[in-house]
Amino acid sequence: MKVPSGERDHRIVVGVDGSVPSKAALAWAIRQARRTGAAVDAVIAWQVPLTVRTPWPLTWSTDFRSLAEHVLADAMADAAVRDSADHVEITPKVMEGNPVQVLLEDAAGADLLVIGNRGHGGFVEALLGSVGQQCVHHATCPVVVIRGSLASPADEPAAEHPGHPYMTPG
Amino acid sequence: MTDRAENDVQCPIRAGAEGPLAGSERITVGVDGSLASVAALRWALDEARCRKMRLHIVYVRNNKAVIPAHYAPSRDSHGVAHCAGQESALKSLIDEVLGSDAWPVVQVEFADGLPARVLLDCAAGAAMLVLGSSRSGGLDAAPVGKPRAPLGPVARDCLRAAPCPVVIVSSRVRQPEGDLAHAVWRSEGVGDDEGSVRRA
Repeated sequence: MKVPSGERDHRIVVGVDGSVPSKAALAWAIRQARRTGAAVDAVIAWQVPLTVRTPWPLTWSTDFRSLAEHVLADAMADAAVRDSADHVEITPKVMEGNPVQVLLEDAAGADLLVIGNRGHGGFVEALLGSVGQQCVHHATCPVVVIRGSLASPADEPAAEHPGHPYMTPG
Repeated sequence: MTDRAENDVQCPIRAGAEGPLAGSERITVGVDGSLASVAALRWALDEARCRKMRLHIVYVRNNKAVIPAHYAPSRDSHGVAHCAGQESALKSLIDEVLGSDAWPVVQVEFADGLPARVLLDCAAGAAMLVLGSSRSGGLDAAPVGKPRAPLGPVARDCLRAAPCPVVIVSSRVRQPEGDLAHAVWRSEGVGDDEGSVRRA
C-alpha cells in the first residue's frame, strides 16, 4: 500500500540486525502492516567500532555501511521468501549511529516499534537484549517484542511450540 | 500453584454479532488499573477490532502475596471488601474504555495467583500478550545514580517466557484525554484502603 510520504502516520518500525529474532520481528511487522495498512521501516544501524576516534578510518578494507546494507537486504529477502510482502511498503533504512538512538528516533510518531527479543550478543538466556531493554524503556510508542523461536509463518504460536519452563519468584 | 480454575469469574461482557467467542484467536491483555494498563487495554482493543479477534482481559488479584500472621485478625472482612472494591472499579473502568461498540467479543477474567504465571497461562494460544509498563523512561524517570529496571517484574517474567509476541505499552503512549483520572488507583499507591478508583 502506497502512502504519500507527506502523511505517513501509520508506520511500523522494525529493528533488524540479521539475527533470527530480528528476522521474526520483520516478518511479524510485515504481517501486521498488511492488516493495518501501515508502512514498514526496516531499520538497521551501524557504527564504526572505534576505540579511539581518528580522522581516518581504522580499517581501509571494511565498509560497514555496505555490510549493514547487505544484512538488511538479506533479511528482507528472507522475509519475502517466507511471506509475500505484496501490498506492503517496506522502506529499508541503513543508518549510522547507536542502534537504540536510531530506532527511537525513527519510531517517534510511529504506530509500533517491533524488535526481536535479543540480537547477536549477550547471554542466550537473557530475557531481552540491551537494545530491546532501552527501547522498551524509552519508546513513546508501543513496543512489540518477538521471540526468535516463533519464526513460523503463522501468526499464531505453534501448538507444538515447546512450553518453556518459566520461573516466577515466589 | 495457581488456583484460578476455581476462582475464575468469567463474564463475557458482550457478545459479538458472529457469536460469542467465535474462533480461538484472541488477544490477551493484562490490566492492573494503572494508567499504563489502560493504555495497553486501549491498544489491545483497537488491535482486536482490527484483527477481528476476541479480547481477553485478565486481572490478577494476587491476594496471596501477603500471608498474614497467624495471630492477625481474619483478613476476610478487609480483604474481600478490598478486592470487591477494586474489581467493581476495574469493571467500570473496562466498560468505559470499551465504550458502546458491540464488538469485539470481550472476556474479562479475574484470577488469583502469581501475576506473571497467570498471565503466561492466559497467553498460551493467544496471538499476543499486551501489557502496560508504568516505568516510563525519560530523564525524570529515575534519580541520578539510581537506575531502575526498565520493566517491572511481571512484564519481565512475561517477556522471558511468553509463548507469543509481547506488546509493551508505555503510559507515555499518547491516548485520548479525559479519562485519566479514572485509572490511577494503582499508580497512586497500592495501600489505598478504599481500593476505589479516584474520581476527578
